[in-house]
Amino acid sequence: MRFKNPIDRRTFLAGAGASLLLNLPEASYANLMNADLVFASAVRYKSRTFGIILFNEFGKKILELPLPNRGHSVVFNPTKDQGIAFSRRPGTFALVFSLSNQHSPFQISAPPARHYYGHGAFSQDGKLLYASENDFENARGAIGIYDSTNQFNRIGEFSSYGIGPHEIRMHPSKDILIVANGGIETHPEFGRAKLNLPTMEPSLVFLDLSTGDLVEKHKLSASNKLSIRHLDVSKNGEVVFGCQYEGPETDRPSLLGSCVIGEEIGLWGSDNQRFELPSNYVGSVCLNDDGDTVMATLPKGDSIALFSAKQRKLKTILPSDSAFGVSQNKRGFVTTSESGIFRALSERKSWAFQGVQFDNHISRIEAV
Amino acid sequence: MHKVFPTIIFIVVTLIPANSFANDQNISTVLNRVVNNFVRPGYEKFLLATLDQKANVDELCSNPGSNSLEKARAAFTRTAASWGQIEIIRFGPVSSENRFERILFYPDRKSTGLKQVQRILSTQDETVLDINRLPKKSVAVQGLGAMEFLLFGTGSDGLEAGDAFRCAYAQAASSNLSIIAREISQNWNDNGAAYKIWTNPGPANPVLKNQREGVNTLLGTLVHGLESIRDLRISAFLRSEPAKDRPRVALFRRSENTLMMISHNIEATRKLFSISDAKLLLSSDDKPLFDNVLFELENAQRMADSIQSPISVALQNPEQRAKIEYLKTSISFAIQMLDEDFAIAAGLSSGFSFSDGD
Repeated sequence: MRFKNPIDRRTFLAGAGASLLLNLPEASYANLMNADLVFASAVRYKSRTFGIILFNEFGKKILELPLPNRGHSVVFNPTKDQGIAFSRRPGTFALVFSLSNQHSPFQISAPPARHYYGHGAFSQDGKLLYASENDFENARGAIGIYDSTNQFNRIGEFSSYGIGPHEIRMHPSKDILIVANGGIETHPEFGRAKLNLPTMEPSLVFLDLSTGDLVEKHKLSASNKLSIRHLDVSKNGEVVFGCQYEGPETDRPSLLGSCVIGEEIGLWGSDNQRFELPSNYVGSVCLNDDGDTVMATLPKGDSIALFSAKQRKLKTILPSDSAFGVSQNKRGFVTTSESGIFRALSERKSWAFQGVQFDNHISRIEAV
Repeated sequence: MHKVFPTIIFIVVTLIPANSFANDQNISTVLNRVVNNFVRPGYEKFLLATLDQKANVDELCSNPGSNSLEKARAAFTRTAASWGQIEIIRFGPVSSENRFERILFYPDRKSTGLKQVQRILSTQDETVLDINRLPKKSVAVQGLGAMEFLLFGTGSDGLEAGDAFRCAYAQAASSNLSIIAREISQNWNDNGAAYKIWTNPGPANPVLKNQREGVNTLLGTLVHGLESIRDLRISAFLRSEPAKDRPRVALFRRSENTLMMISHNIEATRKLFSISDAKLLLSSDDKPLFDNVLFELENAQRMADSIQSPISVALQNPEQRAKIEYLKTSISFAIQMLDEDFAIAAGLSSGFSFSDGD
């Protein structure tokens, strides 16, 4: 079985030896050497400062880097020792770093009249980085294109074919970017306020990266108030998405759905197998590597929910202390929480990070 | 490679906040105070104001003249003020059927609503006069924003001389507002679902399933309300330097009610917090936090009340402009206290806003 984002351990250690030992503290070096998996998450500290933390599957810290403000997600370059942490909307910075601390982290910035939405994706060959961005003066979503081989210079952009692009993912076998357009207009002059709720128009878009052309755009017929925000993609290209509902609090619409190129988009459990989740807010979704189970975190409902991807229905809802991020180790799902807990669910193990609050997402990279 | 086993799993963690004061009983008490002493009377007053506005607009259309126009304009100002006193509430029936935005859609960055209203006037689109069709039109052409332009905007003086279409449109919009207000008020007052949901958090409640969600409702209302005043109302016209100020996009600048609305919004926030007596949610050591927040809200209200000019005049007066800047800072202090210190003391381990990951 392949994990997502495999990276050769030698890549971790490229140019290693003495220089690596100098760059990482001894304990961190050991934690990296012992790791089969490295996780990364944006965090807030009790001191109300922000950063990212990289840690292994045993909850041991490898690297900690400060951020100038709140971060959101981290993505890893699939081909080399490189990661990038994006600021949370409406932030304009992203921090490029080396896992093994081989070079000093450096910041890149969104261009004028753009800000980041907290997510990005590397091309399969790692040469290009795509970032979800807000062209806020024109109320349109943009996908910024950055050259990872040249200091992440921004070399162009595509339309996201919607408003409010949030999480984006590469298709596993096509040169296609999958975009969750949340549909909600925001403008930094108005903080984080949602400006178009009556007319919001969420969509799931497949974007041809060779041309920037729209391949497919899917809208949910059930409601225009279901903001499609978070994604995961199976190795076969099935997209699973999680929504945040902007309608009345008393409604409990389906928040999970899936889509494959060439087929209709669908919400799970929306017909004769309705299920209610304890909040209308999905914080993060993760499809396991077998492609049969999805976990969604519901941080506003103090819960996590497990779904059968094949049957497209809810398996169970479990209480959790504000689980925010979800990923997986080699035995099952792992979560992080706002109370600083990293939890390996199958092993029933957890590790507390003192003075730390994890943000919404965990990214993972594997050493092979 | 190892196989991934999605075998599941149990997690049992405590969901009870460390703070035992934020328990079901206390939160239920706080929410009952909010609903009975703030929400219900607030919507009732708004309903009465919309009915008074409708009566005055009807009179204007029946007997056009400067006197009846002034009365209709004054009734609009009273209606806007009463909305400013309850606008902070974003939960319950106001969140259904776009009622909130149908009452007042702002900001309208590209002046889409204004253009739509002007087009309706220029084409004399009679479909807006049908009270059954108006609610289905753009939210920006059926509420207080449209009413303000009709009564105070370019061409409104024609109402004195009996501009029949414009007046009929104002009648339809004022009727529409009173219908929405009645729907909301009835939903809260008939002891139906809204009342039960928002006063009784617990496992059987379809929305507030535990005390944490009850605390979140109160804090979310206060924090988002203050953020709206700061980010949507003040920041719309107050820029980084005077030369960049934009009084022309200020809410209700035509009726010179911009600062009046801000003052009512702040007063409503202070009243809501005070009426809730949310110190019940705090331990005795933390109770001073309640008074600190109240003190900051009172500061903000004093500052807002001290600026009486139309916004275009206030922004050109350095002393008054400085007061508006101070007001914005004061609101930010109050937000920080509620979002962090108060929220944590009331049992939200990482504050209120942090859970909004995005």
